[in-house]
Amino acid sequence: MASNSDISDIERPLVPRGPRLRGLRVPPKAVTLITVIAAWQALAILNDFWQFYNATLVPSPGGIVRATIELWREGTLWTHLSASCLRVLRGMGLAIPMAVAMAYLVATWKWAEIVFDPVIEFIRPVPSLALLPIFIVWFGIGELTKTIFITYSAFFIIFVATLEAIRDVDPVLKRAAGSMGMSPRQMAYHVTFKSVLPQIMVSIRLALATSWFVIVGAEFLAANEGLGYLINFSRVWFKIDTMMAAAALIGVLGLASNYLLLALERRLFAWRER
Amino acid sequence: MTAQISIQGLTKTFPGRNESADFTALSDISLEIPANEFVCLLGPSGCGKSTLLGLVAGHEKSSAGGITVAGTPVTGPAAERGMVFQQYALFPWYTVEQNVRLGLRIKRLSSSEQAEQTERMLRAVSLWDHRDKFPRELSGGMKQRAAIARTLAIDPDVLLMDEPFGALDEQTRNRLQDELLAIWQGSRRTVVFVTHSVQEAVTLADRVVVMGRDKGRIVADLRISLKRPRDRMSVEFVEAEREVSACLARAEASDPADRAA
Repeated sequence: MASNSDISDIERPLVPRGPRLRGLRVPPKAVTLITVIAAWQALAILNDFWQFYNATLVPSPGGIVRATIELWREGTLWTHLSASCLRVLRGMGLAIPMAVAMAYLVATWKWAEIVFDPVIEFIRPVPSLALLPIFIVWFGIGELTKTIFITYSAFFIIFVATLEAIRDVDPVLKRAAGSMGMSPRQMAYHVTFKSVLPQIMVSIRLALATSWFVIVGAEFLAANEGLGYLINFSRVWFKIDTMMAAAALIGVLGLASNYLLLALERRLFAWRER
Repeated sequence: MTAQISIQGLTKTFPGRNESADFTALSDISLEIPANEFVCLLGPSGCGKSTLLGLVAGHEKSSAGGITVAGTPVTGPAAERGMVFQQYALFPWYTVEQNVRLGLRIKRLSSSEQAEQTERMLRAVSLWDHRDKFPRELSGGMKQRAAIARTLAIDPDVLLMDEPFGALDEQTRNRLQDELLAIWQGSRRTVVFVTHSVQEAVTLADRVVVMGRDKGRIVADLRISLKRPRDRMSVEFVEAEREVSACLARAEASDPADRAA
């Protein structure tokens, strides 16, 4: 009897499975989120009766959803959403190849390290938001500024991670590649690139999070559309529910892009020991 | 085609870090290895035997002296000198089959030749059924068999092995030694095999070169003329082991660090 219970103890999973809803398994972390939102909504409903806080200042989850639907009805939701998404994608699309190429250059060519590394290390600690006003003066308030700004913010994250990863490539694998007759170019692909790709993907995920972070700042200052613009514009009209809707949308976008990349990583890197 | 290795007055000095003196791993080593010979480099750890192998492979540059393989000076790594490492050195992002096939792709064999050669090698090391696995899914012994298959698939003139079975348990080690010998007897080539195990050296080698800790000095050069397959339990085998062990003990005794202590 005692041994039986021991075995069941061992087999019990470390993470609770979470409740089932009509056969659909809900992850426990999702339950947390749903509970918080439900409690917030319940508080708002109670507030409708007793008015212990100003509902205009703190909208309910339902109110935020209503504001989102309102934006969608007006036809402006898609404009703002796509404007922000495109800026992030464009900026990342430029930053990734530039950062990876630069990291490879600095890691493999001594002169590139001497020329570029100190400059990059000097600029890197400056928060990109601190340079935004300068960028606006230089490049105006058009799309170029926002693209460059995202590229700039994402570049260093990817560059540093890639450079470290290239320097950490297992030297034994490079020796093996040499003894298999690989040329430097073949080695760059079959050993270095394959080896650093997981770290590049992680850094892309981090850079993407940063991009969502900084695009809002850029859109506060210099934009006619985009979620950051929407927040700032709604502040003028005291539409707090719209402000929160836009903020929540950025959260959802960040979450979704992160999960998308994680899923991609899991598919690409099945070979990893995890 | 196999090759003769000729090592002439080879010296390897590593520069000391931060003020510390330079370290001489090998000093004026000369060694001739005829074609098709199976040579074991035996010595205590830190005697420079792996450094010597790395120099023959072309992974390290010599400080003085030189190495020629089949008359051609060694200037860097090449597919003619295949290498098997203690750490397996399989590419973790490629399956077993892709690892073996990669060298054949590099060699620019036709696609059908690649497939044929890969299958033949994987069957030879009984990994054909595991060809779609990633290295992490294999045991140590299977990893090393895959690495040996990858190296032999390229058909190198010289096979360099750096303590390839050092990280394996005894049963696996013995089995892999037998498998290696079977493959080698099937297609003879020059093998330089680094080990610190006397038994392994006596099992495998035509010739055992014993190195001392004293700058890689060669303290003994023994011929093992036991008939193959060798029985690790036979009286002759144990006698050969005893002889090699005695040389190794002398190598340790001649170590200046030990004398000072």
